[in-house]
Order: sequence, then C-alpha cells, then structure tokens
Amino acid sequence: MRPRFVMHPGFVMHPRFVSVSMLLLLGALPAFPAFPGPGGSPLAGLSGQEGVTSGSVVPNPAVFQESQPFDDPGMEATVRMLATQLRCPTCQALSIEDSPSELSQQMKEVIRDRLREGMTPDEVKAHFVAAYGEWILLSPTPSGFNLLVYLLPLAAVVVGGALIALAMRKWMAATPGSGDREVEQPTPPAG
Amino acid sequence: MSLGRMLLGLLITLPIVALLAFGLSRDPRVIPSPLPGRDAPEFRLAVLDTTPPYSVRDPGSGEPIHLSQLRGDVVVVNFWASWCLACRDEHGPLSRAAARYQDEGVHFFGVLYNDTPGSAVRWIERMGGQPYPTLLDPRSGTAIEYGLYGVPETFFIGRDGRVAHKQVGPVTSELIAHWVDRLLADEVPMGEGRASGEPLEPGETS
Repeated sequence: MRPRFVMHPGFVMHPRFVSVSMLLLLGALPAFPAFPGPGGSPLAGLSGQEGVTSGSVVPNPAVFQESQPFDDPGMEATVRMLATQLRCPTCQALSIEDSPSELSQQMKEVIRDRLREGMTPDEVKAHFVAAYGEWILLSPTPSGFNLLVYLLPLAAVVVGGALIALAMRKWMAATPGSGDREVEQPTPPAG
Repeated sequence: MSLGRMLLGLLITLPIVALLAFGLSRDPRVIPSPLPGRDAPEFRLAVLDTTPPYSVRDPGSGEPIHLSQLRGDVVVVNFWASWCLACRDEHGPLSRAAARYQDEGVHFFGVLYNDTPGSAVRWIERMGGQPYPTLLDPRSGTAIEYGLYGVPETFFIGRDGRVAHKQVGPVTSELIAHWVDRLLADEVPMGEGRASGEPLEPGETS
C-alpha cells in the first residue's frame, strides 16, 4: 500500500501532490528574508533586501570569499579521500564527502585551506580530531581500546565457526550410520 | 541444562547486554568534546555592525576581536543563529549575565553561525537588543575549530585561555553563574572542565 499523507480526517493527499507542493515551497523560501532556507546559507540573504547602503550587492571578499577547488586533480583526490574519512557533524551517519549539509561543505573548504598551508593529509585529520575528538573519524584508529572494533568481529567469526563445527560433529555422531543408512527391505509376500 | 551450558550462555549474552546497556544509556547527540582543559582555539573575527543603516558590503564594524588579546580575562563565547529556536531561550540569560559581569573582566561574545548578517540584525532588534557584540564567522572556520555541530553551543574560557566548559544546547542563568563565578575565582583546576548537553539544575554543582 502506498503511503498517503493525512492532513485531516477524510482528506487524503496524493504523495505526488505532496512532493510537488514541497518542491514549490522550497523554491519559494528565498523570498522570505527572515527564513534562511535549508542549511541557512550565509549567502542566501544577499539579494539586495537588507538595506544596502553601498548600492552594490557584491559580497565583501574579505568576509565571504570561498575556497576554490584545486586545479591539480591529485590534490582534489586527496581532499575527497580525507572528506570520505570524516564524519558529518550534523548528519552523523554520513561522511562530509557524501553530506550535502552546509557545515560539511565548509569542512571540505577547511581541508583545502589546510592542504594549501602545507599540512599533510594525516595532519589535516589530526586537526579535525583536535576539534571534534576521535568521533569525527568514520573509522576509528586501530589502536588501544579501538582495536576491539576490528578484533571482535574476527573473534566472533572464529568462535562462531568453532561452535558450529563442534555442533555439527555432535549431530553427525548422534545420527547412527548417517550417510549409509540401512534401508529396510520390504519382505516378499509369502507364497 | 548443565552448568557448563549455562555458563557458556552467560559468557555470550552478558557482554552483549553490557554493550547494549552502555550504548543505549548514552545520548548519541552529545558528542564528547576534547576542548575542555585545552587552549581555546584562537580567532580573529569582525564585529557585526548592528547600527542602522546596515551595509551588506561591510557587515563588520570596528576592529576585529582577537581572542589572544583577552588573555587574563574570562571569556564566554556563544555560537548562535537567527534560525535557531533554542537561541531565543538563552538570549535573556546571556544578556542579563553580560550586563551583570560587565565590570568584572568577563567578555561575552556571540558568534554568528551559518546565518546572514541581515537576519542577525533583525533578530537582535526583535529580541530587544544584545548587550554584547556578535562576531562574524563567514565560512564557519572558527565554528569548525571549536568542534561545533549545531547551535546553540557555548564555551567558557578561563583567564589562562583554556576552555573550562562546553555547553551543548541553551545555557541558563544558573549555568552561566556557576562557570563564570568559578572561573573568576580561579576555581577550575586545569582539565577539570567537561562538555555537557545537560544544563545544570539550580543549585547543582559539578
């Protein structure tokens, strides 16, 4: 059964109508200056509605300058590699590479900035760990207590396999003559 | 059932139950911060100009604020946004505390997080003013240095420049007084601070 959105008892909206309405609503959000829209973009309100005194809406480069991607595809690959290893703080289950959230995109800019400053990828990771703790790494570093995360599944497979092997041996032993079971021959009719 | 089987069963189930009890009793939204007990990340941020007529081209006014220049004073840094509902709840307590501690060498700063300066100015007007400056953090560089993952979050920084406490969620008057009074009295030993998502109850001490 397809999901339906019930607004009022007796009034059921078709899902397609809901999707289209939501899209229209999202598109209209920038028209409301007090509503920054999903993610609250710092640039979203710069549409000339904010009492501009200078006659220009060009953002101040010192304030709004964005980090440009590297021209070098190798460096951009390093940015992506790091971004896939860092957790998005707002969505938590995604990497900042996969997350469309504003904070994730800004974190990618920080990665670029730090690489431009000459930090190595490991130093960039350490930089984020210093601010957010180990939590920011999607895969915890395999050392100390964290080793359990890597070793426990292996241990579970080994112990589970051993238990299954033991149980199977027991079952085999408990079934007498398994494999070459004697079939009872029907007795020929007398006469 | 033999004793051996029972022990084996316990050996398998107890660690799983303990793991679940540990995991399910924690709030996954509260991320432990490594900052309390460590030097507060330095920032140099422009001050939001709240005096009309407001300019989009240059929303900052005056000299930027350097955290390092405030060493020796207690600093409270509150990250907020006009689209954040919980920030309304803490506006009153923060404003009253800023006025109360004004002459005691305590600096309160708001830092605007992922918001437009125009919306921030309008919000401050609607809330009846803000007796402390709000700083502009255009690409959230400072927010990321402080390990921010939402607003509001508030950092209490001691005279030695170390973060004493990170508050996730709105602050209350009691919580502000608790940390600021202790920091003014130099009562927070190094590394004692904690990060918490739970506001202190009135009268509670940590």
